[in-house]
Amino acid sequence: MIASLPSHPSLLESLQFQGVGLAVVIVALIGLRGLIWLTGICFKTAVNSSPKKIATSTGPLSPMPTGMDTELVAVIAAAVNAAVGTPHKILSIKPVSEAERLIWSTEGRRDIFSSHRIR
Amino acid sequence: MTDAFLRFFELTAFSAVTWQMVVMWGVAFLLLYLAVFKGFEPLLLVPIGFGALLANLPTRGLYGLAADAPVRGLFDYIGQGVHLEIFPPLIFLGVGALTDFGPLIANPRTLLLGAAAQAGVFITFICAGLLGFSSKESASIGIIGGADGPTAIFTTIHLAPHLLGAVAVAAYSYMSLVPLIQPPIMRLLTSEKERKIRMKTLRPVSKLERLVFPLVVTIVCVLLVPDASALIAMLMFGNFLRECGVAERLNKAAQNEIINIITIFLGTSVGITMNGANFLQPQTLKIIALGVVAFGFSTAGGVLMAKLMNLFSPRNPVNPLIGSAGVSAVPMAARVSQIEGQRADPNNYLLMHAMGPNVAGVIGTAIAAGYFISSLSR
Repeated sequence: MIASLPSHPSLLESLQFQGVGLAVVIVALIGLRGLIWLTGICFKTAVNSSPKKIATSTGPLSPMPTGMDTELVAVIAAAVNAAVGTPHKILSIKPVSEAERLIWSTEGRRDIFSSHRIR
Repeated sequence: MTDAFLRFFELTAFSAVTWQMVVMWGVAFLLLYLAVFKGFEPLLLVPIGFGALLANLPTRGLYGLAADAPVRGLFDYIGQGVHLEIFPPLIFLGVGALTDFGPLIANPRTLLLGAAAQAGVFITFICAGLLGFSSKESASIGIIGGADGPTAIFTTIHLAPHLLGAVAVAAYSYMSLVPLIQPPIMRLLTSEKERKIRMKTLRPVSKLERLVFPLVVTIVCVLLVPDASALIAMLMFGNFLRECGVAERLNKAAQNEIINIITIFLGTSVGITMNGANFLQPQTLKIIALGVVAFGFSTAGGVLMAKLMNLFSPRNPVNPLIGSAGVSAVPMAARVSQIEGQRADPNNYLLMHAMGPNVAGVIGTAIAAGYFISSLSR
């Protein structure tokens, strides 16, 4: 940091000081942007170069519960694909019990209220 | 009998009440009303409002006892967390543990939006100087534009502690007004076509990237602005606790118990500084007015940077609405971008894209604060 400023600077001195400051912030964040981009490239390369074994089931797949809409199955598969990303296989889909449903609701509420309050 | 009552009356504190105290009761009640009934950042404005009320009552043994007294008041001890700059970094520990930097890592060019959104900080510094504030006071007022309460408090303690109450009230009040202040500026600076821009889906971010990120940011930022070390280090430490996955108890403590306790102590300690003699000054109104200026220019800076970036990457455009999320009001500013985006295109989901500049703004404001402190405190 080479900028220094008197207690009541002139407009020009203020502008110079602020120019240096804004440049420091921008350069710092550009530098971070570059480093993050580089780490992204490195990890992408590392991930692509290591062979991946896709898990396969050894036994028979669980049958889908009766009455489950095929459209719902498609939606769940799409959501899993978006969340997981890497190659995968869905082995079974089953509805949650009442007790499990309450746990999800509680967790969702806890997650929301742990943040700032939203108006 | 009359003498007995008169003697008793002399033991009460009624005779110590001044008109400034009564006015400040109104200010404290207003802050509490805004927090409780209007939802204005209640987690901070409730303790600040109550602290302001206590600061303007003729209490005894609560604060203000001499430093060499054998036993000092409760807030003389709690307030040391503010004077010794302990509380703001600890708040940042919790903020780091609560923050998901994934959208930023997936799209690191949004760091530029976080940088541009600091324009309000620097422009407000100049405006404050023109209004007669010293350079240290101007820096403390300008940092309001970063929309980051702990950073604003951290900077003000260093540079202009006598402005702590006014700066904290302005910072937290305007943070909660982000949904009102930002949308008109966003609509003014963008066209309908720009607001409808759909951005590419963010790539998945690996756990290793999430672990490397806080380490890289800590090293780079501490080397560049060592005076921001406390804020940056605790922010990234909290984030590392979150991402490592092997310190879940510590992560939960940082997200809950620690940040909640420190919030209570920080808020009340800040409120305790709001006595009438300090707060009821013409400069308080100037600070509150400059807060709006700071927010406005920060919002504009982020939006304009996004438009500038689109000139250089027309094939992968950025929706300019997410530029306004470069102010550090996490996650409100990101949600404002989401809502404004959906006004233009109901099927456009900008929230996760806006989280990138939103959390970048936290880092940018901390760097700006470090620059001010390093340049002005020596």
